[in-house]
Amino acid sequence: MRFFSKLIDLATHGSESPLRRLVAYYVVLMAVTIALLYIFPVTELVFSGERLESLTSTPQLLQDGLTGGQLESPTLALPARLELVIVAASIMIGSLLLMLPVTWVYMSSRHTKGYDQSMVQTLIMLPIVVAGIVLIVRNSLALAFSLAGIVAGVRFRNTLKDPRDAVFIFLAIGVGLAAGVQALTVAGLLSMIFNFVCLIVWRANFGQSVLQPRPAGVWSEPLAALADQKGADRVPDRDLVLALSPSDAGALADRFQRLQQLVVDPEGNKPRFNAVLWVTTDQITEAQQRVEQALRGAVKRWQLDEVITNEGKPSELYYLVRVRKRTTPDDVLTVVRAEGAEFLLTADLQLSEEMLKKEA
Amino acid sequence: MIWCRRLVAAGLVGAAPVACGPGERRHEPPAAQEVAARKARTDSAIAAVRASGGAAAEPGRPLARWVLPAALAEVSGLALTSDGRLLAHDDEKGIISELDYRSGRIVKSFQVGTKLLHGDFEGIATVSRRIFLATSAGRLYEMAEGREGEKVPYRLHDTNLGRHCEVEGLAHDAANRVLLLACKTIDGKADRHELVIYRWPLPDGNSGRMTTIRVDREEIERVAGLKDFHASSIDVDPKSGNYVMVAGPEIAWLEITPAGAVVRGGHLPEGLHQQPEGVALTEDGTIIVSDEGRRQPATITLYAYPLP
Repeated sequence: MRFFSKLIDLATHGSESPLRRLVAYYVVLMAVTIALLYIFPVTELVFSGERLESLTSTPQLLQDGLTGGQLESPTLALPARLELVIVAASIMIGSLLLMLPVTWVYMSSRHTKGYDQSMVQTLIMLPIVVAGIVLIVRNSLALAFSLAGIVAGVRFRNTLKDPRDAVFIFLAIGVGLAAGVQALTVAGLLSMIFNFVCLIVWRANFGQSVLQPRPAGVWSEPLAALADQKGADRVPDRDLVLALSPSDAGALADRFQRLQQLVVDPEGNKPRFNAVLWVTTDQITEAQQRVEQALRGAVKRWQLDEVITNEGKPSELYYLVRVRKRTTPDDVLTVVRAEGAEFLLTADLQLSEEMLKKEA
Repeated sequence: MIWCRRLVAAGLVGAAPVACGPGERRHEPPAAQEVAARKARTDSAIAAVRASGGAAAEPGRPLARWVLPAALAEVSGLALTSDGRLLAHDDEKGIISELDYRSGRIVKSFQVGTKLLHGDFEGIATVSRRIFLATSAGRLYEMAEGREGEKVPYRLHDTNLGRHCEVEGLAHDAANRVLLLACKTIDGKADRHELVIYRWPLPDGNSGRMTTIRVDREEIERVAGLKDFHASSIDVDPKSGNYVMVAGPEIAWLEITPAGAVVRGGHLPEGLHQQPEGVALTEDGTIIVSDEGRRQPATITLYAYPLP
């Protein structure tokens, strides 16, 4: 994966544009495929759609050996079991490689509301399983009925929150089916066209009602409020704010306002605090004890502002602190890090403008 | 050009084969007109030979030649049904395909047994509506003809010839009501100077006795000029009733009488055969030879019989 990532970086000159990276990925994948076809002609089996053809169309017209020009080399004859292993492995790896960009697009286009990590993992795994099942069932009606019985017995059901998630699931099944009938070319095209359409639709905000105001219009006022009080057009992360729902952005604005009152007093009074200490940890109780123990001697005053408990990623603690005149921010950080070394993942001190000037 | 061919072979360019260079023919997908045109071409070539009394205008030039797909790369024996349809079988899997040798088309394929059989299948013969498939160990699988994709049940007969003979060819001699089993190699020093063919009575309930035809290899060399001949397939000429064989290693053919006298023989035309594995003779005097795929794809080739 790292090698692929480096290759894509090289091809896109390190561009972060999803469209460019996607194009680069597919180009790299095609190059690898063509190289494989040259080196191991047996892999043609997984692209030929031979099984699809055998399922859908007979009779088949043969090449005329008298007028058809030079004869192609036949596919390398391998023992049946080895051929099965190569075909099955190629199909499963192929469907994995084709679903990776789909998950990237899913993560890009659904990174805020409704994002579901298990959905991403399902998108990766589902086509592999579907391809495996299709390989097993083949033309057997009996196996197909058995499969239907087993699935009915498992009673797997899931309600998808968003219709777009269903489309992604259908795509995963489509890729798996195409791979299973040894038509990886179809699977590749399906993945490629779907991804580009999805990205373009997302980027162009296709389907936006003309009567509904655009996000930029909705957020112009809140963004202005979030901008620096002294008139400079500095918004911490405009894109992030644009991506939020109105209620989330409202909560963010409240937080900014609260912090401004505590750290940067708009009326020009001496603020009670001049920095925000931000720490991340996996063991929140122990970390809190250690940090507070360190802060007692290291700063003039402190106050726990916010605790954010996360699952699957580190939790966060925010402290408002007043750094003493004779102490530097580095001293505070050193004490905090030394005290909570076992439990802290990161520790950072965000300074108020007053402190920044003093530091300068 | 080779890139184009690779892309075409991989199915990355076009749903149907495309032309990859100047002068290269574009192969259209199966179409009724194309099938009709091919049939007409082959029929006219056969008719021309018949009109000239059996002598081809260009001796050794095939009347038609069809390239088989990768799935049939291991093509082995050939047999004609009573209504003139050509059956071919796979060397390693129990799969039988019907090929239209006039238009170059795979008509259907069916499987021997409900579970796919793996073995060393070496010959095929049709007896009325029954099909017999022989393995190199001398086992015979008897079955009815199947429809497209069908899995047909079979009955197994053991000729017990496997200990002495590596069976390579199977044919039905209707006149003598026997199945012919041609041996590629024979166990026993005494028999090595002879080409051995077993005549196995049909398992139709009537009593019969297995007999042997032995052809002296010196006689083969004297009449046909073939120093060695390891039969890989056998069929009966419907016109004369003689037995016609092909040899894979020697790329040669041989005709003998049912009594074992060598009639004629020789090498097959150069450059067109890799390893002849099957032979069938039609009533209109055409010999069909199948070649297993090696460096090149498997093929079936049609000639006017007798060959030069």
